[in-house]
Amino acid sequence: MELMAYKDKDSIIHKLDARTKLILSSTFILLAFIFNHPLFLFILFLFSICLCYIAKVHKEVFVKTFALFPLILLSFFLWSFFYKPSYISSTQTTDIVISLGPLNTTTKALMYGLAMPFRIVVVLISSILFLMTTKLSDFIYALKKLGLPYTWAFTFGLSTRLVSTIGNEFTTIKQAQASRGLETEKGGLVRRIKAHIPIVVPLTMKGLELSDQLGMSMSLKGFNPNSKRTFYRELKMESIDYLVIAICFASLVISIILRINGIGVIT
Amino acid sequence: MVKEYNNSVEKIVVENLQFSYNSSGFALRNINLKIKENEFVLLTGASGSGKSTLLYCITGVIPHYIKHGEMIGNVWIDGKNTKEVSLEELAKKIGIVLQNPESQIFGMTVEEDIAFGLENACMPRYQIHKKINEILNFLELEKFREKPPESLSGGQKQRLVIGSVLALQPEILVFDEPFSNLDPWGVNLVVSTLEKLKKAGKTILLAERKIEEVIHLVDRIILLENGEIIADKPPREFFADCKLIEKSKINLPQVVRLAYKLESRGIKFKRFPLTVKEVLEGLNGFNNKN
Amino acid sequence: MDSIIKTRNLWFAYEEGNWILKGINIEIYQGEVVSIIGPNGCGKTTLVKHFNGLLKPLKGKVFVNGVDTSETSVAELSRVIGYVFQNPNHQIFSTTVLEEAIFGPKNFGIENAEKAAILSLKEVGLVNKIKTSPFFLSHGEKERLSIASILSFDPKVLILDEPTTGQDATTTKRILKIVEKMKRKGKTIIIITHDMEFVAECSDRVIVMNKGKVEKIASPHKIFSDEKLLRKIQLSPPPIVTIAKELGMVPLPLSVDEFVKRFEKYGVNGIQG
Repeated sequence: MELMAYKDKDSIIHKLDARTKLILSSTFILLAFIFNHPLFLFILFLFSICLCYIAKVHKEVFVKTFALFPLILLSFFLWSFFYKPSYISSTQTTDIVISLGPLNTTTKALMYGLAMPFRIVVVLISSILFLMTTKLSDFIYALKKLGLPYTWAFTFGLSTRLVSTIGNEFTTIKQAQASRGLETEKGGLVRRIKAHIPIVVPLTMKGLELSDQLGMSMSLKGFNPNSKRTFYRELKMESIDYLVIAICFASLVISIILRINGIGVIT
Repeated sequence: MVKEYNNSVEKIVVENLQFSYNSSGFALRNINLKIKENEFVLLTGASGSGKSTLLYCITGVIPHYIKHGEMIGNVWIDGKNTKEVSLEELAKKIGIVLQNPESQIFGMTVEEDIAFGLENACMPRYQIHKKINEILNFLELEKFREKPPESLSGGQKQRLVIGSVLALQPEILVFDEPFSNLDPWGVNLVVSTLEKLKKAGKTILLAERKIEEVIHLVDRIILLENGEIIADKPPREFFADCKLIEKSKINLPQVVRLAYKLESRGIKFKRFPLTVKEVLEGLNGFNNKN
Repeated sequence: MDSIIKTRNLWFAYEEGNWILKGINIEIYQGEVVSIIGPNGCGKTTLVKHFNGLLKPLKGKVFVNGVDTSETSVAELSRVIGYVFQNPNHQIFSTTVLEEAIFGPKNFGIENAEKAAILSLKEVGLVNKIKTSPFFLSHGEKERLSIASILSFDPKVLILDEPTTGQDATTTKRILKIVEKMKRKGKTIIIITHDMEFVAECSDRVIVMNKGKVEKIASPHKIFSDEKLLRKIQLSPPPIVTIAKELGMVPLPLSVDEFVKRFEKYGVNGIQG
């Protein structure tokens, strides 16, 4: 199971502290919601693409977003033809730009229709960019540094590893039972649920066995969630991290000011 | 009554140990054994004979982790009674490597996994760093330092587990059937590590049924049957006792079975052979290549 | 001899770019016992999963009884190709041993499924444990139950994935006997194993795999005599074979009994022959 989206490349973005990257991605997402004018969102979109190029993951990001292209196209359609916020209808109801049978769209709705896909894409790209440039262990450590209790972070990390272990077990068990003629896709709902018993039982046994052994191993390695511990991994903020965070913060402040003054919004 | 054990050469002392998980019978009884420093002891027996249970009692899993069941008798590790010392303390004296590497790996990378036990022990960061370097070097895992454990082969994973156990510098190492999930290549990797550990002065207790892989390293073999020790001898003496061997259900190395059959046909060996080399030496007079 | 399984330039990968099987061309004939050996990760299990359709080739083709597996369902193929998975715990789920053995025949709609199940349990020596819960069996008994639960629907081909791993000597001997018995019944048996002694004692042919390719397919004698191959894949033959090589025994004995017999017969001088 390909849960880890991390792609190991040599780029400035990869070298940033995990916390910085988290802030960077979050900034993009926030900006995408502060503005709703298609032009501004388009510029934001271009910025996010640039970031992907800098991080050398543009190809991989493109592949992942391309898969969602139909969804994006659909959102354009839905927003343009069905979005009618109250303040639009009270003003320019006669400004119909495109008409498709019973559906019609006004300039404003069309602008929304253009803006939303870009918003969705910016949110997607920022998130994928973060996952592709941040190692999972760094992410967990960053969460811990930002205040998450160690046991939570540790459990989160262990669960992600276990997900793939249990996932593999599930596949093997399913195949083993299929080799004895078990068919899980046939018949009505009840029949299909019953057909999963020969898979769930061995899986549960395995899960219990694994958790017992893991618990034993953890104790044998002196693990005690309640007592003090030291941390080997360290995340150090370099000057570039502070610079990037400063830029993010500044962008947010500027954007909020612009928004308050009505710039970047559809009127 | 718990008495202090003062003989420092004896690393593991088990006295009158008896254990039962529940009322349906004893898993272990009448266990008495002593293991000296730098000895390499092989614990063998059919499945269900009590090997794992004995190892759990020796490493403190019983009674600290497995709290149910009844343990009578005493186990001293390096002079300390396992009932009186915490599992954390014991981990610094005796480390155990279990069968399945999957259930013993906790780090996202090889480096982090080795660090785990040290972090739990509150070791300062620079010391952890030094220790990790030492261990990666010793186990030849340096090139996997930043890799996720999932990318390692079975034998390498088992080596990683050994590394994470070694990190706390226990003098005694216990292995519970480490070869069972490994292919021959993985077994070779682990055997070469065992050789290194023996050379480094560690005391090793290995429970395994694949005897032939380690026979050249073993000082003593302890045979367990139905929870009792029925033999505790050096390998040559152990295998020379035909009556004992015939009764037991253990996997005999092919070389040993060959030696028995040859002896039963009248071919006598001056020294009972345990390895391919020793068989050839013993048959030297019959080698028609000469 | 008819080939019951045939692969033609078989290529397979679980994820893009990472080929596990690289152009495999093999034929397995009816009635033979074939062992597949090689380091973990070389593709043995991946290859074998193509035989009952669990995996379909990305490139190339796989034929079972002349039929292209890419056009056949797993259920149809499994009826003919019985695959005993490595870990019995991946299959065991029923309340009694008998129910476990009936599972397969019931799924395939076989008449007299109970009779067939009891028969297969007899073959593996578990008929006295019919009412026992399979979870309380020993490791060796579980392995035999696994085999019985596949034999119960009488497939033509039996695939055993590491049947002797983690087993005691008694269970290994029993499994060897089961293989011999099934061979006498005309079944084709494919064994994935690391146990070179087992390979030597029961295989007609050995397929050696390495890094997704087939290195060599030959009789155990030829494989264990091929020094270059053994060095390349860093494999050691069973100890008696090594001893026999040093002593100049030709052909190489494949079991302890064979070794002793030849040694006795030819005595001190004349080992060859």
